[in-house]
Amino acid sequence: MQTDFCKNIICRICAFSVAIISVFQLSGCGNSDAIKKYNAISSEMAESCTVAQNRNYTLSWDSSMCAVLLKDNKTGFTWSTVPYDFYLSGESNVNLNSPVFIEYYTPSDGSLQLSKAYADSIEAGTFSATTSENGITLNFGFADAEVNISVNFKLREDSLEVSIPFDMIEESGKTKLISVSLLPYMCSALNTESKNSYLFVPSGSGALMYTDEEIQNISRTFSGAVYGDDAAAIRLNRESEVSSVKIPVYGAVSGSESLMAIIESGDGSARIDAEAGNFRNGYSNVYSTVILRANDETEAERSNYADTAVYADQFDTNGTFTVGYYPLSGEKSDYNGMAARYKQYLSDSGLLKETAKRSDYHINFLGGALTKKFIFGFPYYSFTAATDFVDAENIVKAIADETGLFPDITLTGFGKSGVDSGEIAGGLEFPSSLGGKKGYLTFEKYCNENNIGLYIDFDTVYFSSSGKGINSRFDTAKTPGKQAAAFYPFVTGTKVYDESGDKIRLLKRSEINGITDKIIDFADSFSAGISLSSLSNTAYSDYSEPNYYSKGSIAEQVIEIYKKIKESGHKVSGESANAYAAAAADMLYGIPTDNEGYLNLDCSVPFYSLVFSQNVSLYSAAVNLADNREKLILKAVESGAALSFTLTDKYDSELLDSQFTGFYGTCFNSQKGEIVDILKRCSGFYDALDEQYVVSHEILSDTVTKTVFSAGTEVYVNYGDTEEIIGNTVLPPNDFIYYE
Amino acid sequence: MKCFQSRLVKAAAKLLLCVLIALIPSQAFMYASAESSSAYDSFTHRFTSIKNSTPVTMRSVYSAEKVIDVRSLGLAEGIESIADIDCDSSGNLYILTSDGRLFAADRKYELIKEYPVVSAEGKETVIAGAQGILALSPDNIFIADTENQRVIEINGQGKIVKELLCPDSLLIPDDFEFSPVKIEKDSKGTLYVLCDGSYYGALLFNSNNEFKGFYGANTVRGSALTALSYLWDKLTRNDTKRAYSVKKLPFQFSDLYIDGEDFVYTCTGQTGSSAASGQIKKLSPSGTNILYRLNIDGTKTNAESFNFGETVTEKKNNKTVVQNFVSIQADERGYIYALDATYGIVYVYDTDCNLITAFGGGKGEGERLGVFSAASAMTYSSDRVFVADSLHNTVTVFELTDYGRTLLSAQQKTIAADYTAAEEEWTAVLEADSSNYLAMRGLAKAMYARGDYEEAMDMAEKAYDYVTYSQALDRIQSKFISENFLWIFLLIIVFATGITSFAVISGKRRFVLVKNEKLRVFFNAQIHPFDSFNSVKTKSNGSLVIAAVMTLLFYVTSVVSETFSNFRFTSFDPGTSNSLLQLVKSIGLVILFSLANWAVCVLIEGKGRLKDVFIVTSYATLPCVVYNLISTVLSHVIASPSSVIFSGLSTVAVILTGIVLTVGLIIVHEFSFPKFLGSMLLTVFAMLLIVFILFMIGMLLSQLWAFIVTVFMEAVYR
Repeated sequence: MQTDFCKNIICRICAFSVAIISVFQLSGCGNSDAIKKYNAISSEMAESCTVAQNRNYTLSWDSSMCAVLLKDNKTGFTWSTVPYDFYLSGESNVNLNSPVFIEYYTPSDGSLQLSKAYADSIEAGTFSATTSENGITLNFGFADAEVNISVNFKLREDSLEVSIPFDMIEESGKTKLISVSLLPYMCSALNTESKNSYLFVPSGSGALMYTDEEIQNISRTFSGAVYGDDAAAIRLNRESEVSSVKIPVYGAVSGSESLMAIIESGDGSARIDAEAGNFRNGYSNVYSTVILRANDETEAERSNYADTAVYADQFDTNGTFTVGYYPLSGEKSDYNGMAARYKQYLSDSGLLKETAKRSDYHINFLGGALTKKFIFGFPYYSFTAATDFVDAENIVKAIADETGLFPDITLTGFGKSGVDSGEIAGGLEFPSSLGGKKGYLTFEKYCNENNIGLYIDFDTVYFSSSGKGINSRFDTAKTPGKQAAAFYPFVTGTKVYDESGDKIRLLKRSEINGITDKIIDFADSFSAGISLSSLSNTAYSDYSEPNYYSKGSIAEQVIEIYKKIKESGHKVSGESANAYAAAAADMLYGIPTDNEGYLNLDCSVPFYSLVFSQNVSLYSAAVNLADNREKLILKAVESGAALSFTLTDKYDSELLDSQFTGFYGTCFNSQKGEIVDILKRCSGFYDALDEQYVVSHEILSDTVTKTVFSAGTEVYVNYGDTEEIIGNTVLPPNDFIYYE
Repeated sequence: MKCFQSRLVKAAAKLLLCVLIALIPSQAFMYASAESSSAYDSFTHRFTSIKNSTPVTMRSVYSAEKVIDVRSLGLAEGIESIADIDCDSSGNLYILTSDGRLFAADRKYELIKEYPVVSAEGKETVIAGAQGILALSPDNIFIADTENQRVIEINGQGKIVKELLCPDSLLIPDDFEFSPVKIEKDSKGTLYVLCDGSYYGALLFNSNNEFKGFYGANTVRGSALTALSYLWDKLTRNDTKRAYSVKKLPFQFSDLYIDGEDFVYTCTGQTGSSAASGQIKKLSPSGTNILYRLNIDGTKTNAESFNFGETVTEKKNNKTVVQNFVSIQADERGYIYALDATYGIVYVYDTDCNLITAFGGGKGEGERLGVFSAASAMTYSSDRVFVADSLHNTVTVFELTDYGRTLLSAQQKTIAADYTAAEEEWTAVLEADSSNYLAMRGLAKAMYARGDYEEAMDMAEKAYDYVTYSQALDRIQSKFISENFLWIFLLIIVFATGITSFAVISGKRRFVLVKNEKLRVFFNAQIHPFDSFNSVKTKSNGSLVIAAVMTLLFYVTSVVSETFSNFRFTSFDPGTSNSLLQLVKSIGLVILFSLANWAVCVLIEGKGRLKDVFIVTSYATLPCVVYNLISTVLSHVIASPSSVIFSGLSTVAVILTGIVLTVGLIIVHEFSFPKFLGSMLLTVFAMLLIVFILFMIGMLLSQLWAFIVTVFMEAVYR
C-alpha cells in the first residue's frame, strides 16, 4: 500500500517535472517577431519622372541611373542618391550607384558579407521602383543573401524623408540581415582643397572632416555608433564606455550648399560612417547605417561557438529607420546652419521649450564609495564618506567667500553604495554618515536661500545587488546572445576585465520606469532636481523585449522618463548626455566641448552647444580632473559652457579602490587655491555672457576660433603657442579675449 | 613622546576592536561615469601590501598633444607602415618607413625633407624592409637596412657614406644572419647593432668599423628542476634523441639605447611566459645588468626578477596575453621609458625601478588621440615622448605636463637624497594628486630630514615606506628612552621585583590562582604536560569547551596578527585576502589533524578518544595564540623592519606547541616515542587523503550546482 503510494508520488513528480521542462523548452521555440518570408522580387521599374514637388523642392526619379534626385527649387542645386556630378557623367560605379549596402551573416559558414545594391540587386534585375503619394518606393532584392528591403522616399515641405520599414524586410532564414547602410553617397561632396567643403560628423561636441584632395593609399574614415556602443553587448575589448556620438545628425557641405541628415527614428540602432578624401572615387561622404541585429563578441575556442560574434536571432519588425535630409544653402549651409536647423527640429518635436538660466559654475560633489573592510578576516563592503552635507555646504561657502560666486550642485554617490554600484538608485536613502535626511534638508535649505540649483543623482542603469524591488538575477537586461548583461569592471591601464570582484549589471529596460517612479516618490519631500547621469549617457539593448532590441526606443523611453519627472515638479539633469536626454534636461554637466580625438577628424566645433545652450544650462567636464586644464577651460569658453568641478571634502586612500577613478584629484582642500583662481579668471567672461547663448562659431585659423553669443558678445580663443592679433588687441597664447 | 604613547594605545585599541559584528555580504562595484574624455589612462601602481600592487589612475605626467601623419606632413601619397622613429640632438624627428623612405620633421612637426637614399656612386638605392634608424644630426644618420643585411650611414643629402656588412670574424657563428634591426652609438663612437634572431647580444663595431665582439645578451634562466631535467637527459638520452630535443635559447633584445654616460639600456619583448620579468636592463660596460629595484622594505632586488609590466593578465583563445616591450629610451634625468606593444602603454621608471607613470593604451584597437592600434616604436626628445603606430602610420606626441615636470624634478632630488629641496615640489605634487605615493614617500623623507619624526611616520605609513617609518620610529624611541630613562629603569626594577616577590610568596603560601580544575590543567599543560595530560586521560580533566575556545582563539589571533600588525610586518592585502584560507589554516587544521590522528591511531591500537586528541591538539595551540598576540603588539613597537625577534619568538612558539602536542598524544594514546613518530607519519598521509576526498566532493558538488544553475537559467531565459 505504502509502496504504491510512493510510486504514485514519484510518478507525479516526474510527470510534473517533464511538463515544466517541456513548457520552458517549447517557450523558446516560438517566433514572436514574424519576419516576412523572402520571395524573389521581379523587376518592375517605374518610368523616369518627377514623383513629387512642392514650393521648395522637386523629387525626381531616373530609372536609367536608378537615382532619386532632390532639387532645390530656389537655388537649382540638386542632391542625388548618386553624387550629382557623377550622375551627370552617366558613368556607373558599384559604390556610388548603390542606394543601400547591406551586411548579412551566414550561420552555416559563419561569414559576414557586404552586399551592394547596384551590383547585387539593380544589375541583377531583382529591383523594383514604384511611385507613391509624394514619393517613391525602391525595393531591393539580394538574391545571394535571400533578403528583400524596401526604401521609401517621401518629399516633405522642408526636407526629404527616407525610411526603411522593418516590417517590409524579408528573409529566407538562410542568412541573417545585420545592417543596412542608407544612401551612402547622398551626403557627399567632391574632394577639394577648399576648407569650404567638409563633412560634419557628431563626434563629441561635433567635428569636421575636410574633403582635401585625396592622398594616394590613404583612407580617412570615421565610424561611431549613435549614442555609443551597446552597453549591454558582450565585448572582448571595450575601449571606452563613453559614447562618442551624442547627436544623430550629420551632413556634407560643398561650398555654399549643404545637405544635413537627421536620424529621426531608429536613431538608437544607428551608426554614422564617413570617409573623407576617398582617393578611389574622388568623393567624401557621410551616411548612416541601421544595425538590425546587435551582437555579442566571444572567444570562439573558449565558448565553443563557431564564430567570434553571436548575432541576435531577431530584430524588431515594428520599427522603422527614418532619416530626414535637409538641404541648406547660402549662409545657412555651414555647421552653424545645421545646428540651427537641428535646434528647430527639436523645438518642432516639442523638446527644447524652456530658456536656461545658468549659474556661475557647477560642482559635482561625490558622497563616498564602498570600501573593503574586514571583521575577523571576513571581508565586507562598507560606505566610506568623502563629502557629507555639512562639508558640501562649507565648500560652497568657502568658494563664495573668496569669489562671491554660487554654483549649481549635483550630489553624486550620496546613496548607500556611494559612487559604486550596489542597490539600484543607491538604495534610495542618504547614509547616516553623510548626515542622513536631516542633514540633506539642512543643506537643501541653504541652497534654496542662495538660489543654488541642487540636483541629486540616481543611477538607474547599473546595479549589483537586489533591493528596492529589483532582483539582481531576474531584473538584469539581456545581451544580444540572450545572456545576462552583467560585466566585470576594468583594470586601470590595460582595460582588462577584473574578474576578482562581482559583476555589474544593467537594469532591465522595462524596469527603469518603475524605478523612476520610486525616485519621484523618494524625492517627493525635496525641492531638489533629479539627475540621471547614467541614464542620460548610456544607451543599451535589452533582448528581453523586442522594442528594446539593438538599443531600440532608448530616446523615446528616456524622454518619457524626463517628462514624468518634470511633471512631478522636479528639474532634471544629466551628465555628458545624449541628444534625447540633453533636449529634455534642464541642466547638463560634463558636456562634450571637444571632439573625441579620433585620428581622422580635422577639427572640433561646438555643435552641441550651438544646439542646446539656449535651452539647457551647460557645464563643462570637471576642470580639476582634466589632463590639460588650460585646454578644457578654453574649450568651455569657446562653447559658452560654464566650468564644472568634481569635489570631495576628504581624501582617503581606500577610496582609490572605487570604480570611480578620479578620487586622486577631487580633494577640495588641495585644490581650493587653484579653483578660486580659475573662477576669478573666468568670472568676467561668464558675467558678460549672463543668459546669452551661442549663435555662431567660426574657425579663424588652425589655432584661433571665434564664438558669437546671442546679445552680440564675441569670444576669441587662441590655442596656439604664439600670440595673435584680433582687431587691435593682442590675444595671448593659450588664452581668450571677449568683446561685449 | 605623546605620539609614541598614543601609538601604543592605538595598537592596543586596535586589538580591542575585535568585536563580533554580523557578517555582511560583499557588494560589487559599479561603472563610474567617465570623469575625463581622454581615451588613454595615466596610471601608476599603488602598493596594497609588501608583495602586491594595483594600478590606479593618476594625474597625467605626459599628455597626448599632437598626431603627426601623412596629412600633417603634407605628403602627396600614403606611406607604408612606420618602421622606426628617432630624434636628433636638435629635436628633429626622423621617420623611417618599411618601404625604405626617410622623412625629417622639425620641432613644430613640419616636414623638413624626405631623404633620397643614394649609393656612394649617386645611384638611387632601395632600402625597403629597413627596420631601425639612429639620427645623430640631419647630416649623420644610420639606418639598419635589414633586408639588405647591412648598416648604412647617410649624410644630409641621403648619400651613403659608410656601409657595414656582416663581419668576417671567428666570433661570428656559421649560421649567423646579419639582419640589423636597431643601432645605437656611444660617446666613443662604438656602434651597437642588434640583429634579428640573434641571441648573442649586440654586435660592436669601433669607430674604424672593426668588429669587436658581442655585447650583453640575455641568459637562459635556470632552476633546480631544469638542472635535474638536464642531468636526467644527459644520463638517459642518446645522441640521436638529444639532437631532436628542443634547446632553450635566451630571448633576443628588442631594442637598446645608450645614454650620455654610455650606459646601455635594453628591453626584451616577450619573455615567453605569463610571469614575465627582467624586461628592462641597464648594462654596465662589461654587459652586466646593474639595474636594481629598491623595494619598499628597503631591500634591493635585481631587476632580472622584477616584472616591469602588469601583474593582472588576461587570456585570449586560451593563451595568456603577454606584454611585449619593443622600444626603450632614457631621458636626460635618468628616467627610463619603455613601450609595451601589446597594450600600447609607455612605462616610465626611475633608476630605482619605481614606476613614475604609465600612459597610452588601445589594446591593439586604439583609434583616438593617445591610444594605439599597433604601437611599434618610441623615441624621446626634450620632454616629449613620440610613439609610432605602424597600423595608422601616425606618430603621437606626448608632452610633459607642468605636474609631470614637478614630479620628475622632485623624484630626481629625492633619489639624489636632497630631500629638503624636494619638499616644496612634493607638496605641490600631492596637492594635485592626493594618491601619489612617491610624493608621500618624498615628503616622509623630507619630514624625517628636518626632524619631524611623528609626521614622517604618518606619511611613511601612507606610502608603505618601511625604511623611513622605521628610522623615524627609532628616533622617537631613542628620544623617549633618553628623556625617560630614569622612570623606565625604575619601572623595570619595580616590575621585576614584583614578579619575583609574587613567585616566591606564591610558592611558599601555595596560592591557587586558578581555582577551576580543568582550567588549571589547561594552563599547567604548557609547563607540566606529562602531569596535565595524565590528568586529562585518567581523571577526565580535559575540557571540550576550553579546547573549542582555544581553537577559536587560534583563528581569531591569527586574523588579528595578520590584519592589525604594523604594515611592515604583515603581508595583509585587502584586495587578495582570503578569510576562508585563514579559517582552514587555523580551525580547519586543528579539526583535520584531530580527526586524522584519531582515525589512524584507532587502527594502530591507540587508546586516545577523539575528544582527547582534540583537547591535546587545541591545548597545544596556546603558544601560537600567545605568539600571535605578542607579535601584533611588538610590530608597532619594534623599529627595525628586519628584526630577528619575530623569527625567534615564532620558533619558540612552534617548538613549545610541538612539545605539548607530542607529550599529549603519547600519553593519551599510550604510545612509545617510535610508535608516536610512526603514527604522525600516517596522520599526515590521512590528512592528505581527507583533503583529497573533500576536494573531490567539492568538485562534484560544484559541477552539480553549475548544472542546476544552467538548467534553471536556461529555463528563465526562455
